[in-house]
Amino acid sequence: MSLTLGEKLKVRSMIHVAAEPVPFFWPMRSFIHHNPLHGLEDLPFDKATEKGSEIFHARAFLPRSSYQAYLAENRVDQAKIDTLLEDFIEQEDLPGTIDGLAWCRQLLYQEQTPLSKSDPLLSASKIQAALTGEAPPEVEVDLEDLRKGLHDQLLGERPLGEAIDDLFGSKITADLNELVVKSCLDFYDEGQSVWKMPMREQGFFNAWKKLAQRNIRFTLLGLRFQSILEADGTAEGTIIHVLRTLGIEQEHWAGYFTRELAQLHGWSGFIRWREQAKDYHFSKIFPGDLVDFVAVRMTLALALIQAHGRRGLASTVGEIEDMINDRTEDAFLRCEFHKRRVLPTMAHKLDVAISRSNDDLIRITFAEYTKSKSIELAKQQALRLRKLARAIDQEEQLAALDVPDLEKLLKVLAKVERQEGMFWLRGMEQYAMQQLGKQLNLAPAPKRDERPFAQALFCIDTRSERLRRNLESIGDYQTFGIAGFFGVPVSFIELGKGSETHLCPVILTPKNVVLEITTDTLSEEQDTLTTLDKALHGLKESVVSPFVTVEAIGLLFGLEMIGKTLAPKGYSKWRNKLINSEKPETLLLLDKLDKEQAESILQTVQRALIIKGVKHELHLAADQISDEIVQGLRETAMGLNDHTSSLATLLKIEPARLDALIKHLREDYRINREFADGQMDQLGRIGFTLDEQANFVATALSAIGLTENFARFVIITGHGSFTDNNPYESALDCGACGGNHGLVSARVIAQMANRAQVRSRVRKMGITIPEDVCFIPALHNTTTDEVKLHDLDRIPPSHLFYLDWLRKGLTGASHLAAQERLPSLSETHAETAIDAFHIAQRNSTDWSQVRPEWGLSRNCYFIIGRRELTRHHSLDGRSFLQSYDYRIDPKRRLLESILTGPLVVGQWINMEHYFSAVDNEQFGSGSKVYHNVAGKFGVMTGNQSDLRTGLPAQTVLKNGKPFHQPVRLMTLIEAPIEHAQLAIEAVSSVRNLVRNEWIRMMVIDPETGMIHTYEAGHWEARPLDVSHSETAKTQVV
Amino acid sequence: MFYSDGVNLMDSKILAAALFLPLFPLSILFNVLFEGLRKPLPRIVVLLAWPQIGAWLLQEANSAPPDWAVHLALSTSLLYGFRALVLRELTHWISFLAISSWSLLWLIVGFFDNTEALHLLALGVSLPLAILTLLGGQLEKKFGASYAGLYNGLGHAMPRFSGVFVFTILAILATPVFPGFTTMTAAFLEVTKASLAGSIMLCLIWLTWGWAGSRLIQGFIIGKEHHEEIEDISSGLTWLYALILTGLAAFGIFTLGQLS
Repeated sequence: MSLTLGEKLKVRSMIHVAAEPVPFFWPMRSFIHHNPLHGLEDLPFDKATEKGSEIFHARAFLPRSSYQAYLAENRVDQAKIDTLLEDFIEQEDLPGTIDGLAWCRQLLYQEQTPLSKSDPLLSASKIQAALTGEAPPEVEVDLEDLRKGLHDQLLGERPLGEAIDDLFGSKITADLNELVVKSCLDFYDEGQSVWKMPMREQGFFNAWKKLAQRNIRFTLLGLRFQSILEADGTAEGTIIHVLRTLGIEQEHWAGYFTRELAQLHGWSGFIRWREQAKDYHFSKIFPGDLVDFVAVRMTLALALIQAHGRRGLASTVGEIEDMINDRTEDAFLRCEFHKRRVLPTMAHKLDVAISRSNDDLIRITFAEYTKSKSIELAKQQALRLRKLARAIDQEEQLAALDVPDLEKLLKVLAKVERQEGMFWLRGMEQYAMQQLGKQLNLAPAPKRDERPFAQALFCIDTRSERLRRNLESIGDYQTFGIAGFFGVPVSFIELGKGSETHLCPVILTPKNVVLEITTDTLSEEQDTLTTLDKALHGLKESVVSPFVTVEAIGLLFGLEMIGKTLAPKGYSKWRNKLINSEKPETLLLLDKLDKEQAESILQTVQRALIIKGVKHELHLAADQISDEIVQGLRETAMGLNDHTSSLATLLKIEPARLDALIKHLREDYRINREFADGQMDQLGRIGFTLDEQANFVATALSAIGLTENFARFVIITGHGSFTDNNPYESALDCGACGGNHGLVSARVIAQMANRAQVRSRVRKMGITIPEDVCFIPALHNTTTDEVKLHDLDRIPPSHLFYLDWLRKGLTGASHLAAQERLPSLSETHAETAIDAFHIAQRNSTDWSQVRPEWGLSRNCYFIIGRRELTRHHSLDGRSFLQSYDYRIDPKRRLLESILTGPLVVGQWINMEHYFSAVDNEQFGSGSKVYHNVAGKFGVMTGNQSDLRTGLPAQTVLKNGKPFHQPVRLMTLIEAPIEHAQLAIEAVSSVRNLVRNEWIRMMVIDPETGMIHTYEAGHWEARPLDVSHSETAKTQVV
Repeated sequence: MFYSDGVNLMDSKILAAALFLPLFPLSILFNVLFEGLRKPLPRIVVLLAWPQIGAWLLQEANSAPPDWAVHLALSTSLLYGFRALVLRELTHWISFLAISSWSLLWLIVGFFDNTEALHLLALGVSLPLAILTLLGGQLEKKFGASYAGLYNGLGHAMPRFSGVFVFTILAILATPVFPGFTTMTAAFLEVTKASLAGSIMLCLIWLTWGWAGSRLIQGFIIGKEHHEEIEDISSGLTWLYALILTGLAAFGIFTLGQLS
């Protein structure tokens, strides 16, 4: 089989489209919070959750009992749910005697488990007979209906392996997942394996297929690949060959791919992300895209199915269709048994019947089973209906219903149960909105005569709220909220590292590079210790060495274990002192280089490389390599001039050896024109022009409304988390910095804002920053709430007198914030704020601590407005706070950029928490306790599983119950309604999120005092104080 | 040969013992009887009394079991252990494991000096099976059937029940310190003297028990969490079960001491 280019492209595009519902999975090094249903955001929230639940076999809402618990705690607006139920009932056709609202209320508020059952054997007539105590009517099971049901259930877009599993109780899907995971682990490994998969540079499918035919495990499993792989050598051709062999109709291919990809959505998401991350190092050297992944999966699937088929069982769509049509009873009983829908009392009989495969026995068992099950189900339903009716005093009315009316009632109850998730969600959101409404203060900030002692800019992150509030409460501090990259997208090259880290939300791509440089050099001692540390860890990871080293140096690790376990804080301090001495003081290269400077840097680097090359190739000492030699070699290697004759004399070597040296310099040391041009382009990306710097500073200050009355100190606070033994550490870092620490971004903007030339340009834009204002970068450690000031050597001497006071203020706020957080985090009681702070510090260094902090759990609000709006109330660390003053943004540019960046990131974070809380196994990553790092880029549960996406149970659950209250992000904009609406309409991505209700949008209009809420497709307005009175209506059931 | 020749092959007491310490094909009768009992209590009575009658008959026979009976006992034990691998219905599983365990008593008739030892070991082997029958009865009451794989994940939903269930299974599987372990050890000591093939068969029997037990645990205890609330056994009952199992372990240690 040979495919045309068109056919190949068709398969590729089909897989590309099919993969859209699968969310990206970023490597854990820079964890990115994302919406697991991001690919379905073009659908309304309720429809998307329905589809997502089906694709990912997951739950999109909490179980009813959890919502009932919230209701009992008065965290749900019951009145809202009642209103929704009334609207729902009005549209339904119910018998006149039935009080639909009472039935629905009783069902939702009092019954813990769902009532409705979807089963072909359950009929209203039998339920009615059970209700009235009459003998159940003899109703023949309609085989045609069963056939249709089995077709829908087993065929179409459903992977064939799953259908075979349902029919024959095999484990094809589980085996397939296991084999695919193993293959992915081998190929996508980023340095964890000691023995690496060969031929990876040829691509995933090509490397895999060469090894597959020699894989002993595959042979032992009875998998035969030769005929599959020989049909067509390409990934696309193999996919088509498999689909045709299995008999999947072309119209189902795209859906089939989606379901296959969703089986391992962690791996698919990672490969999908890797495919588009063109600059990702491993993606460049070991290419492997989703087409490869699907090809490997389909090949393995066919081999497993064929191995199953060799035992004489159905193994193609056609054969399964025949079985459904010709042996419907058998197929039905098999599905009942293997899908665990069997009536427990008849499980053994079914087991015997289907294992004997005797037609007569099947027929007899089918008749007995369908009769027993239909009667049993009817009895159970009747019992529950009667109980419900009794509770609402409708028992007589229920008993009087005829079959069609009972059917109507059952349909309505089933429908309300299908929609109840949305009812509960709206009820919880309504309550949360009311709570927020109570805390809003529209009064303008009082006029001040004096400048504040200090102003502090914090990330909008929910964890900043506590610190900000406490800082404001203990002194003359003003705080502002701004996305933690401070509006400056930066590609950062850290000191001693060659790779770039993007410090901005992942939806942006930074154009400018910032380089970290130092005047110090790394000490020899540190080099030695680092090498020793690496060597020790290398020994652990080797295959053989642990057997030997456990005797030799096991004690060393033992000591570390004791230290880390018994005295984590003290041990960590001691270890850091010993191994990781403080990072040297560094500077950031922020200014744009002109051409001359860039060339000079390039020449310097080239010279250093040439000296290294000559030392290595000719074994000369550094003092024997003169400038003339270096210059000559450089110009010759670059092709600028030919100095070969003079160089041979100077170096005292044969011309042939000189040629070889120059060749080495060109090829190995990359002293050549082409590479130099590339480097010049790279150097051109370094830094920002003065105008760019001024623009960034002015925009950041305007966006938060800080345009006048500057304090002496303006603290720019990035944030990061510091924990031990925690693969999820970066999930606790700054999302606005691409899942990295925010200190560099703070240093960048502070360094820019401190420059006189920048300030003079900013002044021309209408913002006058007095000369004595000093911008100080700081890092907020969210695990301990400690705030550490940086770059203090650049503070003017006149300010040093106040520095101690500033530090005291920050320390006090840290302690208070830690004290506030601790009760929900730890069982340990802290008497004072300092005690709480010390416990938080211990958590930060404790390697056995699975929950060092709650991160962004319980996030609920996103407030875009002045600090005065909520300053005097505690938001309990549940709100993203973005400072914004619409009065200085008449053209809405600032608001639009807030909506485009920070709000979208906030929505991703919110949705990640929502879905991880409602179904932690499927959308979250389960318990951390069972996690193992996979390939250095992800985690798996146990030794082999899908890559775990989402958040661990320890981040969103407490004692098995949701700690994070799953609601959609309630966004509040403080601005006139037209102003806000125009901004929302102007940003298409946010407009769709609002219209499809992925975020709940509210606008508080300070000019009218009205609060506008986007509800079910339109804006509803009410005076702010109405929400207060509505809260009073909320009742506890 | 395990034992001396010269016994009457058709000794009626030996034959009767083959029904009460069931040997194939007489074991079928026990199976039919046990599975015919619908309530846990009569099942427990049968489990406790049946092997006692067998042990009494064996001792009354006043001679060592004939070779054919010993060979048949080993084969029966292996056959039923092997068949238990695929069983998911708890009553069947108990019935098969009972036959497989009791068969081994044929091998150790002559091992102990005192006559009570065989009765005590028969009791020690049967007691955990009786506890499992009780637990199975509770599952039947709760779910309608005690069938592995139908409602797995009990570990989350009923942690106390699951704990008792797992320890009971371990006791049945002749895990060290339980009386079953003493029986198995005695059988090993007896068989190893006579035949390598017999030892290998014993190893296989133990392996199949362990395998069947782990499948059963997997089918009931392991799995996804149940969303609906399932009532666990009371802590008082848990303590009672724990006490019985601890007593059983102490009894196992005591009988193990008798081996020397």
